[in-house]
Order: sequence, then structure tokens, then C-alpha cells
Amino acid sequence: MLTKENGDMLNIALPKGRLGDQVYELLSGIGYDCKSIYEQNRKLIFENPQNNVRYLLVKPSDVAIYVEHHAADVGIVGKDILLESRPDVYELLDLNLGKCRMCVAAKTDYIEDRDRPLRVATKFVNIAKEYYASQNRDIDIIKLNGSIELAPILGLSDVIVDIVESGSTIRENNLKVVEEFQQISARFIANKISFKFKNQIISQMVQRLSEALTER
Amino acid sequence: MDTLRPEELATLKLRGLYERYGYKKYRMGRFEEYSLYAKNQSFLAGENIITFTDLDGKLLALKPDVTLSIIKNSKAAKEGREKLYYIESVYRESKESHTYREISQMGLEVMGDVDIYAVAEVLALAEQSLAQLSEDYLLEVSNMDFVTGLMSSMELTAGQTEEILRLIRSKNSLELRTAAQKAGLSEEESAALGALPSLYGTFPQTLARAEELARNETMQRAIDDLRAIYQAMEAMGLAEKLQLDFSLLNDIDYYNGVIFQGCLAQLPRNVLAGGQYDGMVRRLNKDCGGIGFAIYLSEMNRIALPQASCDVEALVLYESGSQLPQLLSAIQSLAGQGMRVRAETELPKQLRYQRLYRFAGGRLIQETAGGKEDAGC
Repeated sequence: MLTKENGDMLNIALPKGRLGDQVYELLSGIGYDCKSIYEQNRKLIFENPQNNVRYLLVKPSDVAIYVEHHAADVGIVGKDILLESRPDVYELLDLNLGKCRMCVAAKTDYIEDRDRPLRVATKFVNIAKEYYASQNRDIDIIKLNGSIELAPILGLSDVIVDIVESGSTIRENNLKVVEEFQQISARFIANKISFKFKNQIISQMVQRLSEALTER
Repeated sequence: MDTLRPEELATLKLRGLYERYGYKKYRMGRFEEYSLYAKNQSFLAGENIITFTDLDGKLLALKPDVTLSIIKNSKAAKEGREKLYYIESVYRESKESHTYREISQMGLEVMGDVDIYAVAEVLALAEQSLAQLSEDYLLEVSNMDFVTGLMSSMELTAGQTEEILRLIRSKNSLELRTAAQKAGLSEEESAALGALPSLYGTFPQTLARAEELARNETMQRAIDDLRAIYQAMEAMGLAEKLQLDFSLLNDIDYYNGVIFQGCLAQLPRNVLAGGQYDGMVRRLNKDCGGIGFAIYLSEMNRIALPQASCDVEALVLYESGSQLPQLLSAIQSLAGQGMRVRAETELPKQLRYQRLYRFAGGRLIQETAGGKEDAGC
């Protein structure tokens, strides 16, 4: 929870990892830099009082949680996570970074048997359910947390639903993309209450970000 | 009074406020027939309800919502209004923990003929309620008729409508335009929808921008109503923290007209929500309208209070076998001075106190500061 004395700073939840680095480069280029973030240490909070920003480094899948619960005012998160958890936040901008696709993949020689429920292994349970419900296809879900590509190889499932960037992991494991059904990219989100109380700062950030994005 | 928590204090103050405007307290049972909720599921915040079979075989539910019960039991009609307020517990699922939670709620409802005065009165009471909870609040208002008016001429399936409403609520302009185009809407219609997320801000300025989008009578009337309400609120000195946001939308089958939400700067979620729900009243076969709001008192728990410096002002240590009448009257006299007093036979661990007394020889002796036992705060 934000306390009174840090209430005026803008708290930005940044996903740890490559996407977070790209987003930070983008933000620092438009006036929200925070040099201390380059220091090699295990700190999770970095702030620059000069331009009133504080970066929080969090696990990518937790960004939306921090923002929804008001621990961060704004954040950058993949569309896959927004679709999966449907947090109650404002989705203000598509940053066109971290682009990939939500796909159905199966073994290269896979032929679907429409006479029985499809077994689907995935990390994205809700997305998979919603997608197959829209196809009127009966499925059994197997929730996995990683190495999803193993499931069809070992016969654990018929297909997997997962994000695919270049497709090399899929190919190297003798799988093929059967269906692409959703484009994924990084989104700029804001807490609904912060958006009202810190509207000027957040709107300015959105404005500068969209200008920077059209220039690129 | 200062030992009361903010939500308890608020309850007392708000009761006074509502009574002064002629609202009557309404008390109801914890149980309600399950069928009432099963039929009106999308009016509720969640799908899961605690149900049980009563001894006579009836399927009952622990109330997940108060408004439905009030509508069902109300004797209001077009000619006779009912003005009620309530303080009740409701039982809902918590999306985070996937368990049921008891939520304490306070709210008021006007049922019967809902004219513009009723709308303005409820809005004014909502704002005054928020002001009792915190200085740092905002009341956001919208008029559902503006958006439903805009969408009325568009031919959309139920799924498309739902998707578009969801995108408006999350202020996702970009995907909104794409979804509108995918649904086969014209360039002009897509642009109008895409403009909704940015239609927020102060009343005068936002209303002027909204007026440019008005393309039929329903939309124009929605704007005129908002303007009239704003002028009334301004006259009452309640306009400063009032904002307009057309991306605020409730379920279109149940709500119509003015809807609103209140938030406090310290809290992550809305603490107040309400609106006009004529659609819901009609579904329950009543030929009239309704408007009201609820305040989520449980949310107030999240406000961090300043840490109290001590638990009691006075700690009295007595020996077992002390003269009872003298001991009790000594303690009573300390409590009578407005102190919180705790009587114990030995020093309790983790109790923070200001003064330490010993009861010996039929009277109280205060331990001096700097003494061995002076571990108080």
C-alpha cells in the first residue's frame, strides 16, 4: 500500500528480464530515467526523486497484480497475462514490444480426432478454455508451469496452447503450429484509482510514450 | 469515540445523515430464497453463492446482495416512493483466495418514481458519505443512456456487445476500434466508440466534448440530465470532487441512467458504487424505478491507521486476596478519569501501558518513572 509520504511519486512495475530492459530504455529515453537501476545488485526498488519515478522490479506475471492492488500506479505487462487473469485495470497503450503469438501446437504428424475431448496442456488455462469454448470444442485441461512442449511428445496431451516467438523451440521439439489465434505484445496498464488521482502524470507519460512509439 | 475504527465511526455518522434526509432503516434476514439470485445472476458481483437446504426443503442462500432483496420486498410503486437505508453483511466469493468472505455493507435505495430530484439527492448523499470517510475522495459519474444510445443503432451480437463494453471499461481505445471494425461498424461509429475511453474529466469540459458525439435524442437527453445534475451539485458546493467518466459502465440489462463510483486515494478499489436500476426493478415485475448505492465498509480496513502508542493508560497490579471492594472502586475511579485500565496479578507480556500502579494496603501506589518496572511506552 502507498503511504502518504511516497504518494506523489509514480510507482512503475517493471517486469524483470528482457522485456523490462527494453521498456526501461524506452521510458528513460522520454524523461523517466533512473540511473541507479544499472547498478549490479539485488535491490528491487529504484527511485529518482528528480523526475518523481520509482521502479519496482517484479516477476512478469505479477505486474498486473501489483497494479490492480495499487502497490504500483502503472506497469508494463504482456497481453497474454492480461488475457489470462483479466485484472481490473486500464489498458492504455500497446507498446509493440515483446511481440509473439498465442498458438495451438502439436506433434508434426498430429491429426485431430474430433470424436473425443481434446487434451490440452497449457500454462494459460483461462485463455485455452475461452478459445476452445468459442470453437464449441470439448476439452480436458492439463495445467503445466513450464516445458509445455514435452506434453505432446510424451503423450500427456494432444496439443499445447502456448506463446510462440520465433518458433524455434516448437521446431526443435518436433512440433508444429496448428493454429495462431492471438497476437501478444506488451501493454501499458494503470491502476483505476491512480489514474484518477495522478491523472496528469500518467496522461503525460502515455502521451510521451505514444509519441516515442510513432517515431520508432 | 477515538477507540472506534474509521468504518464504525462512518456508520454512525452516515446513519445520522440518511435519517436527516428522511430515509428509514431497513433490516432484513440473512437468508433469501436461492431462486431470486439464480434468475438474476448477472446483477450480482460474482457467480458463487452459499446455498443450503432449509428444514422444510426450501433452497436458501446467504445473501450475496442486498438490493435484490429490497426490490423484491419493497411495496413501492409509481405513486408511492420508499426511501431506505441498510447496514448488512453479505457473503461473496473472494476472487483472490477463492474462498467465501463476509463483507459489511451500508447503502441506501430510493424505490418508486425516480425523477431528476431523486437522482440528484442520491448523488449528493453519496458524495457527502464519501466526505465522511476521507478528505481525499473522488465521485465519478456517468450516464448509461449515453453509451446505450450510441450503441442502439449498431447491429451487434450479444458477444460483440459484451466485448465492446469490456474494452470501453478498460479504456482500451486501440482494441476498441479494431473490435468495432471487425463487427462491421462504419468508420464514424468506430470513431465514436473509440472516443469513449478518453471522455473523462471535469463536468463542463467533458460534457462539451460528449455533446459533439451525440447523434440521437437519448444521447442528448443523457447529457442534458447530467448538466442539470451538475448545476444542482455546484449550487450545493459539491462540484469540486465530481468527475465525469463515460467509460464507467454497469450491466446494460439492469442499469440505466445515472451511475456512479466513489474512490478514496488511499484505497486500491472503489469504496462506493451505485446507480439507477429501473431494468432490474422491472424484471422483478414492479412498475417503477430505483436508484441507490452501497458503501463497502470492509474496504476501509485497508486504511493504515497511525499506530497507537499504547494499549492502556493504566496497568494495575494487585495480589490475590486483596480487599475486593477497595480494589474495584480504585479501578473504577481510574476508569472514571477517562483512562483505559487493565487489572492483572502479574505484568502481562506485550502489553504497552503508560502508568503502572500497585494495589497494596487497600490503596493504589503509582510506580515512579525510571523504576525497574517502568517499561511502559
